[in-house]
Amino acid sequence: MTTIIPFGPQHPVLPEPVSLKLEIDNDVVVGALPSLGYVHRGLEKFVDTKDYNQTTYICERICGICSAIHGITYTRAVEKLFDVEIPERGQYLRVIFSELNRIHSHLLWLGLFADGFGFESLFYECWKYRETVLDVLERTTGNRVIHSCSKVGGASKDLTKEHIDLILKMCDTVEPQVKDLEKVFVNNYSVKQRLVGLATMSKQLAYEAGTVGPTLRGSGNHSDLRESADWDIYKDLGFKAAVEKDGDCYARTKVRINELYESIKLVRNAISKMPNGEIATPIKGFPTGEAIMRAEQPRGEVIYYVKGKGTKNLERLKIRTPTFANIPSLLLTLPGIKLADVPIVVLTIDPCISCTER
Amino acid sequence: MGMLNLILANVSRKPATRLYPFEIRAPFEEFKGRIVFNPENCILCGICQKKCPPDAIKVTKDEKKWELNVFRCIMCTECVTGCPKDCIIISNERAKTGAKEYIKILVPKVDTPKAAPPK
Amino acid sequence: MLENTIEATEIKNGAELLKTVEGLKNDGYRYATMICLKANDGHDFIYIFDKDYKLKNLRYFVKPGEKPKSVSGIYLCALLIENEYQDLFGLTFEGLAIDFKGHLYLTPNSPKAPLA
Repeated sequence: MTTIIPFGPQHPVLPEPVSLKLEIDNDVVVGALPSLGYVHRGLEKFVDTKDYNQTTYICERICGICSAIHGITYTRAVEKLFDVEIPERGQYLRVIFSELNRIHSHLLWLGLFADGFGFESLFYECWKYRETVLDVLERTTGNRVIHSCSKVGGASKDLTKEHIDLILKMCDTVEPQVKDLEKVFVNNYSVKQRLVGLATMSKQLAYEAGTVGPTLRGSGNHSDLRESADWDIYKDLGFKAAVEKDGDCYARTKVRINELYESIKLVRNAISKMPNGEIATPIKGFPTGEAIMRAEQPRGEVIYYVKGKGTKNLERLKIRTPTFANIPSLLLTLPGIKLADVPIVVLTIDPCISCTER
Repeated sequence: MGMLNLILANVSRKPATRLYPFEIRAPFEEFKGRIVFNPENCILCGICQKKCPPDAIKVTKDEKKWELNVFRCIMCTECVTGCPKDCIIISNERAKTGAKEYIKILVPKVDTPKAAPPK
Repeated sequence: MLENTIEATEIKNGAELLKTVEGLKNDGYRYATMICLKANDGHDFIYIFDKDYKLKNLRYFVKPGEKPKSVSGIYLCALLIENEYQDLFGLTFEGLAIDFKGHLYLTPNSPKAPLA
């Protein structure tokens, strides 16, 4: 006899509403059915009324946590339609803001994850360290979370010498704090009891189920879009992808902590190699044609498709966000685990539901 | 033992939060607070209305009026960079709770007399 | 005229689509996404597959009134995107693994087929 329990739209660990109907048999989950649609805003239809410059502001507001990379990917896709090259200083500025965004997003996830298995003091510590990163973002771009740092043609704001000193001081403060957090997540006895061996996905299953991001890299697949041909500026900065072999929740946590160290190193290298010069090129005319652009967000791979028809409005904008690709893997890993571990398994894919249902 | 050291150190440090209504932090210089309009040099061209993404600015030429919907403004500064006469600036004070929804300002623009036709 | 287009292989009918997709799965390609556009009264589908950072695209034109076949039997992750297009464009797919019948995002009193 099975009963159906709603892992409802409102739950204390979920940052955004998603509903899963769990079929349980005596404390063990047997099946799961997702139900989306609580925050659908229909943002893809805005291209009918807003022109291609104003759509940048809409694309940034799809998600509050991963907003800088949405804006940067959209502007790069439209620049492909115009066939322009932006100056080097603009490219380095975009890299710096992407990596600062990744640092704040992973610190937020570490805090929520600790809250998911009941460790509240660790949750407070992670979010306290995140405040230094947000203060630096407010002092350089003007806003804590939605910083419009890129426009079609380049970057929108430059960094002065005081801003660069602030960013380097923040990197020196945050790195030993992340080392303290790593000691707790990786070595603590009770944390390991809850995470090791939970919701294991083999290498073949993670690849075929269409997962992306740290969920894919935690199972041994080496796939990170910052190594692809569109983003070869990362090769000059000495980037290495973080991969683990085991495929359980513990391995995915280690992947995200290693990415934090990698992002701090990339910010320092980018600041030391940034050349002087212009930050944007002027754009004339209207876009025509179609283009596809992919980027690596904190949660995985995002794909943008734009199509222009020669007027100031685009014809079609399509966005495939990383959580959209990770949700079917929940249907494959949830059967067989206990009811008390369901919040941890749902949080381990890093669900960002307002991205999923733009 | 990592967590135990952190907690014992936190007992002796001062709290990380500030007691808000009694202790207010001054806003940073680059913070985007609200839009301020200076009507002296305005020529009522309407470029700020065309560029605004949420359509928060309305310019009427016959009544010489410039109107801003404060609740719709997202502080993106497109109007600040687009104005040809530099009439709009962004200030770092936040708009207070209880602010009015619309700001209406009359523009004292003087109509220039048409040039006399050449003989 | 479109100067920049993405390179894609043309597919003529449903049976050829399923055969090509199975061939790609045996080759080791990963399903990325599917794009739906309105074109000349019907709909244009673009399927995107990825392996080792290189993309492979398939283009398939659906005439008005035709019911396209679903690939969720071969790749399970395709079921979410095909349900989304059932809501937003008013299409009906045959052979879906889990079918929400047009209620994944939209409720009974919302506008029908907003993007069509």
